This record gives sequence, structure tokens and C-alpha cells, in this order.
Amino acid sequence: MKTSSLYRHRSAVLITIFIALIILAALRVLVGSTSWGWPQDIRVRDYRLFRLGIACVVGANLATSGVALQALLRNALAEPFILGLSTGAGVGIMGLTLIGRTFDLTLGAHYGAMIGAALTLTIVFMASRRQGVIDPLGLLLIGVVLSTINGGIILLLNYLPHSEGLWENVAKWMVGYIQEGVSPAVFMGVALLSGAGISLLVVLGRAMDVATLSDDEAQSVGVNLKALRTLLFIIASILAAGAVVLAGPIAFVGLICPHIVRMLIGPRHRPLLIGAAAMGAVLVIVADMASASLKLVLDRGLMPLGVFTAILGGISFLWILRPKLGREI
Amino acid sequence: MMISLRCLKLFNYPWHALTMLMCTMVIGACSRQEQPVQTADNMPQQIRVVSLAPALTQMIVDLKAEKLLVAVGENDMAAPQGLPTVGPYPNYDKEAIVTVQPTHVLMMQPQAGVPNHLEQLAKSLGFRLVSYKYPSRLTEVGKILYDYNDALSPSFPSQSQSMAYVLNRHERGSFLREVLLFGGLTKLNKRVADKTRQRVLMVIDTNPVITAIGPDTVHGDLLRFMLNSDNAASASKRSTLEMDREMLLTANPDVILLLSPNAPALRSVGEDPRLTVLEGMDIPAVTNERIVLIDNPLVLLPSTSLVHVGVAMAKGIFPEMESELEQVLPELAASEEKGQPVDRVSQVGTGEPSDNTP
Repeated sequence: MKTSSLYRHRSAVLITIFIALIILAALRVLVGSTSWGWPQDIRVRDYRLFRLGIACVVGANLATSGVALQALLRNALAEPFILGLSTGAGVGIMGLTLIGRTFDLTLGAHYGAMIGAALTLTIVFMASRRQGVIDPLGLLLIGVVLSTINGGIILLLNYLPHSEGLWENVAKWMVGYIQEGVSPAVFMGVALLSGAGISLLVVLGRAMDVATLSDDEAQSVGVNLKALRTLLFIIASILAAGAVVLAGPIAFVGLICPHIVRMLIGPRHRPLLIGAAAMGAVLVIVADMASASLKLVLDRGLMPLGVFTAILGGISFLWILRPKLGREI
Repeated sequence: MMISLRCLKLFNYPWHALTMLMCTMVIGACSRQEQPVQTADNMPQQIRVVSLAPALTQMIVDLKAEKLLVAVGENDMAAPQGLPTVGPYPNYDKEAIVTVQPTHVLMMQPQAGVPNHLEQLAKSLGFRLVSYKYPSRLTEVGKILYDYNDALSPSFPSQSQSMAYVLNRHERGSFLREVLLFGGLTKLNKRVADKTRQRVLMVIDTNPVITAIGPDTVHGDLLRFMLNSDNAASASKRSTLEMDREMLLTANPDVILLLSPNAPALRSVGEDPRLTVLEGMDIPAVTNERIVLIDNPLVLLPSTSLVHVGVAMAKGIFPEMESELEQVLPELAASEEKGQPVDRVSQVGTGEPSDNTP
């Protein structure tokens, strides 16, 4: 394919994704948990718009964090949930809640999420290196194991203070719900930080393209791999932590969105990041709409978002992993 | 012939005969005391009960049969202190159950049914597994406690076999049901009957999402029929309902009761992290600061503790009646001391009420 036609193809795909995002965002305002249609009550409209905003930030954060991790670790299966970042952020939030409850302090959950996510990614990053090179299979295994350990720590932190638990419904929290309780200030803070992080990733897009080559090749074209990896590491942690603050740990968005967009427009990181961000937002909005619709149709309470993303993402994960099964990775 | 003659001779000495008669009577009396008398009150001493549901444990305690308890399930807030536990649902510790040698294991039947391993254990150890359907109506709590069919037992034992029947506490069961439970709730109802009905949202969880108690529940009945209020979460028929802000706005509660056992004291919206989801919401409960915490450890149990819970809820809904409502429990305590029924309830609402009275 010629460069110009490739450019046109990418642009067309990206525009299509963004149009889909706009349509779904409009639909989300029409689909509520109490009724369908344009909300007459301005307060209902505001609540739907706030949920929409959270869904967009969460989806974009998880998807771009996935892209960054895949570039950082040179592994197409890397994503925040699989590598334990989301559960690490959960540990941070629970730890900070416990400290706050013990010393009667009101502490921002987002700080805990950030520390937990960064700490988990550091452990995964350090433990999966063999003589300076990241072992892809080891990385996945360490991520999965660390995710399990984090899950255990969350339950332990929940159980320790008293038998009823720090959060009575920690199991629900771990599946992922949009947190309408976050203050607009926290939401704006996370959104701005996420916007800055994603923009920086887009700026680093070319360097990320080069980083997918071998270390020698990358360095020969003047990319400082060490600095790039540190930056990617920090940004991916911030993005994943931001998503956890707004919606708890949601699985697989960071895996399937980059893969879908990569299939549509190829592996170049700049368009990939932009497309994945929009696709992530689309997926989380669809999940939120499905949750609200199911509530209306089946007369049920709100379903956790993580239920939809886990089913979709789990199937996609197996599908991506399929060619590698039975072989040495 | 000689023996008979000697016996007859014995009666020639009246003192001897009198002494023998007295000895016979004393021995007879002593032997009667040693033999257990099968009365309703001391028969259950042979019963060894394991309760796997806090609601049932509370009933056992209120039936004054706590001495029959030999073990309880984990985190049983109604259990007397010091009792061994037999593990959490559904993975009960078989070894612990075997150790306490129960004659009866009482449980609330989960939706998935009675765990197979527990049924097998009952067969192998020979204890009786009594499983009650989880009550969804207030009347069902009364039926678990004491069933009128039990009065006909043992000729016509009821199928369910109430707690009072199983533990052989018929009189206490009847009194507890009629006077202390439904009688107490009726007293409560009479006090609030002429008050304006309030829309009340009973919340059991706020994190990560508001979870409220639906209408077809024991607490729903308590609110609707006894506390003269409407359940703000009645749009759904679910027993519990996860709600977003949009649903909260539509529910538009006048009062929010946070039913959270042993929870720390509630601060105001904006200060308390449990209430962040309510921040800035334009609903009467928030704007009028009518969010009340009910931290009674037994608050969520569908059990005999419902009168205490009902009083606490009524005080939260009608705070201006606090002093009047506080008299309900002392009155019931007085009734219990007298042992005389005070208020009898003919029927507690089971379906659509024609009016607000039960």
C-alpha cells in the first residue's frame, strides 16, 4: 500500500472510530438506568454526562496504558490488569483507606492507587528481567501471580480491621463499577493528568515505534531506551491508577482495544494510541450502556462493568494467545 | 407358709411396720427424683444445637434456649460469647461439627439449596438437619419462630417444624411470637400510624455502589406495614438493588437509613467517605440532612431482634417521636416479666394492604 493511501486509510479508520464514539456518547445520554430517552430532568442529564465522562477517561486510560505497556515490555499480551497494575492500585487504595480509618484521616484514594500501581509495575518489571532482557513468558507469569497476590492482600486488608471488613463489599469493588462518588475535582484532576499522559505518549509515538526493534537497532537511530522505558513506565502507571480511582479494576480493556485498532490501522504508535484511546472509551461506554439497559429490561440492579469487559476481553485474550499455545513463547 | 406367718407377725409390732413403710416411701421418693421427668421445659436438655444462621441463633437466645447451643457459624453476631464456631458458609468445618456432637443443625436454606456435604454429614452422624427457607416476609419470621400447627403436634406435626417445636419451647415460642415480636411491632405501629408517610431508602452498602433493600423483604414489610413508610426502592422487585445517582434521584427518598452493623458513627455528607456518592444530590434526604445510621449489630437479621431494629428505624424516620418510641422496649420488657400477652395481632400483612395497618 502506498504511503498516501495508507495515511488515508488510517485517517478514515480513526475518523470512523471517533464518529462511533460520538454516536455512542449521545446514545449513552439517551439510555439511563431509570428510563430511555432524553432526560427531562436536568439533574438526570448531568448524572448521565458525568458517568459518560468517567467512562471515556477510564476507557482511554486503560487502552493507552495497554499500548504503552506493550511497547515497554515488547509483549503484545501486556495490559494493566494482566500485569497486576489494577489490583496493585486496589491494594494502594485499600491500604490508604485503612490508614485513614485508623487515624481518622480523609486521604485521597488516587494517591494510594498511584503508589500501588507503580509499586506493582516495578516488581513485575524487575522480576521479569533476565540479564537485562525482559522474558515475555516470565513477565506474564509474574504479572498473573502478582495480580493474585494483590487480590489476596486486598482481602486481607479488608478483613484485618474487623470481621465485617473494611469495605463490606470488596468483591463487588474488585469487579469494577463506575464510581459516581468521586468528586468533580478529583475527576477533573484525573482527566487532566490522563490527558497530559496520553498526549505525552502520542509525542513519544515515534520513539515507541523504534523501541519495538532490538535494543541495538533502537539505540543506533538515537533513541534513549532507558529514558523512554522509564517514561513509559511512569505514564502507564499513572493512567492505570487513574482508571482504578474512577472505576475500580476493570479487566482486559487495555488488551483488546490496542489489538483491534492495531488490526485496523497497523502498528504505528501515534495513530494506534489515538485510536486505542477512542476505542477504549467506546468499549467502556458500551459496557455502561449494557449495564443500564439490563437494569431496565431485566429489572435488576446495576451490573458491574467488569463483567462485560472480562467476558469480551477473556475471549479476545484466548484468541490472541491461540497461535502461541503449545509452542515456546 | 412360714414366711407369711412371720410377715404377719411383723405387724404385731406397729413401730416396725411404720419404720418399714417410711423407708419404702423415702426410697421411692429418691428414685423418682433421679428419674428425669419428661416435661416441656427440661426435655431439650438432651438437645445439642448447632446454628448456622445468626437469625436463628438470635431466635434460640430469645427462646431462652441458648444453653442448647453447642456451636455456631462464623461471624455470628447473635451468638453468646465463647461458643465454638464451625466455619463459614458453605464450607463448614466437618471436624468441628463432629467434635460438638450435635443432635440438631439449624440453617437458613441458601438459594443453591442445602449443601450436599452437610446432608451427607447429617446422615453419617445421625443429627437432624433443619433447614428454613430464608424469610422474605415478616410473617415468615413468625412462622419460623412458632407455627400454630405445632400446637397440634405430635399428632399433626407441621411440615416446617418451627424453632419452638424443634427446641421444645412451645409456650415461650408462642409468647415470643405473639407478644414480644408482633405485639411489639404493633405497639410501634400504633405510635406512628397517624404520621405522614415518608419515603425511606434502606441502604446496606455505599461502596462501590449504593445498594438498597427492595420491597419484597422482611425489612421492606417492616417499613411498609409497621413503620408507616414507603420503600423508596420499591420500583424493583429485587430484594437488593444497586443504584446509581439517576436511580437515587428517581427514588427521591425523604430519609435514608444506612443499615450497617457496628459501623462507626456517621458524619455529614461531604465529610464522611461513605456518603461521597450523595454529595451535591438534590434529594430531600440529603438537602434536609435526613441520613441516619442504624448500627445495631443485629440490624440485618430477619429475626426476633426486629422490634429493636424497628424502634431504631422509627426513631430515624420520625425523630420528633423519639421519647415516645423509646417507651416501646421497656413496655415489652415489663410484659415479659409479667408473662402476660398485652397486644395480640390477628394478622400481619402478607400481600397488598388495604390500609396501613398490619
